[in-house]
Amino acid sequence: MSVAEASRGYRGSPSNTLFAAVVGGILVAFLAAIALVLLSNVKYLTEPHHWQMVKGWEKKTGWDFFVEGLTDPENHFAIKLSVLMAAITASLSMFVAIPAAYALSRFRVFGSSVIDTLLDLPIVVPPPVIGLSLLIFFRTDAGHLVNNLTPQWFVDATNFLLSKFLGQPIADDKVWVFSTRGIVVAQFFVACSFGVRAVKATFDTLGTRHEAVARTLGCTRLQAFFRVVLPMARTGIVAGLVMTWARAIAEFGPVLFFCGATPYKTEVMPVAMFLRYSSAGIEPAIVLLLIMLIISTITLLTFKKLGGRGYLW
Amino acid sequence: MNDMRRLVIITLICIAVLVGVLLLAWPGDAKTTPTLLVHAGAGIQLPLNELGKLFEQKTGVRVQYSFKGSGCLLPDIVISEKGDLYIPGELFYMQQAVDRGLISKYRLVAQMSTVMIAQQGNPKAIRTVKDLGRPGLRIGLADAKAVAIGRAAEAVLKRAGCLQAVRKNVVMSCMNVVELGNATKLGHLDGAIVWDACAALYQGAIATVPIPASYRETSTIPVGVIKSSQHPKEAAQFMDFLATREAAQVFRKHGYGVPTSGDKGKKG
Repeated sequence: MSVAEASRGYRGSPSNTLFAAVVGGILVAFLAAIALVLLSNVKYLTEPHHWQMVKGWEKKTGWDFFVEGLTDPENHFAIKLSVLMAAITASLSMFVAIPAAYALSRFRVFGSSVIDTLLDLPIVVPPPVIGLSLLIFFRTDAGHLVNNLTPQWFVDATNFLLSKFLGQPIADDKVWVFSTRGIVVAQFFVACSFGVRAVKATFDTLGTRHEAVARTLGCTRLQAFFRVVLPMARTGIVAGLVMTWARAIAEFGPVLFFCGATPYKTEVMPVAMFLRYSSAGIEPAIVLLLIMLIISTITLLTFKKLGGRGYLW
Repeated sequence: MNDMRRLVIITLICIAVLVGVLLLAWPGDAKTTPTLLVHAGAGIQLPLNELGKLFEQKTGVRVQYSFKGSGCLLPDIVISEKGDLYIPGELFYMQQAVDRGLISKYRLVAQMSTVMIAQQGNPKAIRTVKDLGRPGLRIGLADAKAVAIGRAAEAVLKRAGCLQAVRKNVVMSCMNVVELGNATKLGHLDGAIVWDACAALYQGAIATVPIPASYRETSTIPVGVIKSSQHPKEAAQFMDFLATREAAQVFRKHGYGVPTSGDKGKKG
């Protein structure tokens, strides 16, 4: 069957119309399911019959909870901490992801399937696996060495900056386990693997032609990378950065295991939600959930606007 | 080499910023008061947060909690090698920690007893323990092997002679007593047996049904100093503070009872 025949068949045949209706229908049903599940949170909050303990037996509406959640200093802390830590994680990830992705994209090496698997592992394993592994790692001699080699000035500087930014005294010692700065470590592995994937996709789509031309015109590999490849890949890299940030801010399991759930210290937004829920605060948990939902939506829109595609995982 | 020059300038700026930050950040000879890290059950957050603030006001020693389900706390202490105090939701966990030689000393600070909960307005008319075994009800029960409320609930049901009937109704098993309350409030369970302090968290949003004294079980919340604590003196101070009358008032406010015996402190 030629292409012309095939396209004629598509327009004409009733079986093809049916096929289009079925796949389209399944898509619409799935979209409706997502919207329904997410919007049920709003519905729960708008139901009038919830009580909360703080003010005795006073009846409170969902709106009261929402306003309370938005003005709660503990939630402000959680939002600030989440945004900051994910930003640091995403920036650090890019320092690793750009060179690593370039190497993966340009050099054909032996055992590339092993490299690929290892690289994707942090994305695919259940997140708590990373958290528990980190806890165990910092028990080993290598882990103790990392603690001991962490310079005191670095600890003091991070404590100082975090305290200033967060408005809460952060006084961690050299030990990374259960520390505020440890959140970056907990987020890093997943986020960075993610970042490598995203940036590599950009390098792959660029192709090698421009670089090759630059090199025939006398550029070294380094110059070609900085003057040709990076400027061309800029939008893709920024899109990757945005998605890496989104991935980092969503991290819950590793933070819970490696940093603990400590109010005003390691309380990123998902941890705050967990803490509210486990002291019977269903409504405050839902308010945090809605805030996270809004942040994720904005992030995704930014990502699409920047022309990021496909490589979301 | 325009690029090289730019690179050098950027590097220099970075170094300058870093040095500036360090100069600002370098601590004077300020004496730092210790911060206590307390591994505590997530269900006891509300009174503990309040008591931590009170203690800081009194002594200047900061108290920070790592909250999790009580079952997760023990591995945390063992693996992380960090922490000053241990406050599990139930004595059962403290016994495990003592058996492992992790605790130097502990005291009992608050007490809970079993109650039944049902959805708001008690639509399924759960009035006696036996009612939980009525066919067709959806009941939640904590894991008896891992959670103390699970063992306590089984003991209550055994005494009431309806354990087998209730087991047939169990649709959900959990690792944390608050999950039972949340699931009931959300309408996924018809009833469960929980601690009274847990039921108190929901004031009015779920129904509480008392259990007759002859069937009732109690549990005690212990506070223990971890042997490897870096600040054993301050840790013991906080433990003693939690056993004072002032702390007892806070616990009472949040629906806990206060133990009558065992206030003398126990060797781990």
